[in-house]
Amino acid sequence: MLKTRAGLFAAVCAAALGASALPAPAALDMAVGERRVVKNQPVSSCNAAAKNALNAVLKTADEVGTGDTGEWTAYGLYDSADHPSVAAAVHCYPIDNGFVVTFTCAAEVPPSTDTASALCSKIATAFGGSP
Amino acid sequence: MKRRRWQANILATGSFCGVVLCGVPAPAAVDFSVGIRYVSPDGSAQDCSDKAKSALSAFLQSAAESSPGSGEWMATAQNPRAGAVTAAASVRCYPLSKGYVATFTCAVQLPDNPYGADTLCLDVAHKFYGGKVAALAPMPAPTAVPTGCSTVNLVGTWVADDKPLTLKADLNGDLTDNDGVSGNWGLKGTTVTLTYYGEHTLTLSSDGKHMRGGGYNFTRKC
Repeated sequence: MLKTRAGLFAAVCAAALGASALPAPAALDMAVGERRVVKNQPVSSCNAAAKNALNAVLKTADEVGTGDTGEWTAYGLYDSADHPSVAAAVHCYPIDNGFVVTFTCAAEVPPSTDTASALCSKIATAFGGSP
Repeated sequence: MKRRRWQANILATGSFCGVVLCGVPAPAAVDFSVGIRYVSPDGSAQDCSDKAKSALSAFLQSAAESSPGSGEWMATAQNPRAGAVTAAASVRCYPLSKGYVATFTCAVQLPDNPYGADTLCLDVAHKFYGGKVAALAPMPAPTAVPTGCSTVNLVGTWVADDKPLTLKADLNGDLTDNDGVSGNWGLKGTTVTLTYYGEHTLTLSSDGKHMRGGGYNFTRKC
């Protein structure tokens, strides 16, 4: 009887330990995403599209610094302690008759199921226009 | 009825084993730095690329261009203790009609990484175009696996003095016997708690070589 109980105890413990397996350690993933050159459009349209694209995929897009810096960033996938697991930047820069825009992303995998590259692709798609 | 209550207790204890004994690492977060942009009135795209590679390589490893001639560079740093990449930076060069523009973006994983993303980006940027470069805190060394008859852990192989039983204890607090049955160990002072077919309290000897109690007598191979 005692042996049965001990066996049951060990089995329950083993099952509980197995069920609560430690998560895989998180690794930082960073990606240099797409770069697009858009002609015949002002940099203001880049800024508007950058803000919209970041807000569509992540949260609370902000322009870095003061004035029209054209450097946008946003975070996402917050945990219960308000720590973000993904972040992205969209850089707009005026050139002769248009602008150049770049997408750069970082993701902590896990918990993010998206790689940084996948995140950048989503933001670039939300930005609109052709690559 | 009594039997059912006992089974419920077993289940509760088992769940406790799973939830409490499995430590969960501190939540990590991405720290991101954006905003440093450098416009050079002269120099070629190749100059920018050369500087980008050099600046990234000063602080990180494996600086590489995303595709040859793109002028978009990235590098990462492996954290030996975390066993993963915890820092990365990119420098993106774009040629202008005169000169070029370079943007700097950095990301680190906190709290594993010993410095923040802003610190990293500032250093990479200063290395690129000149400026004060601060020494970055070194990556932490991997956690050493203790050896010998330590009195602060039970890591090692324990052989029962009076029965054909061997336990291997690891740094994570896990142990496995010679039949593959697993359990856990804990040590507070010289009091050993073995969760192995029930919970047993033993006492570790002052030389860390023996533990006895709860019907067990073990000697460590060390």
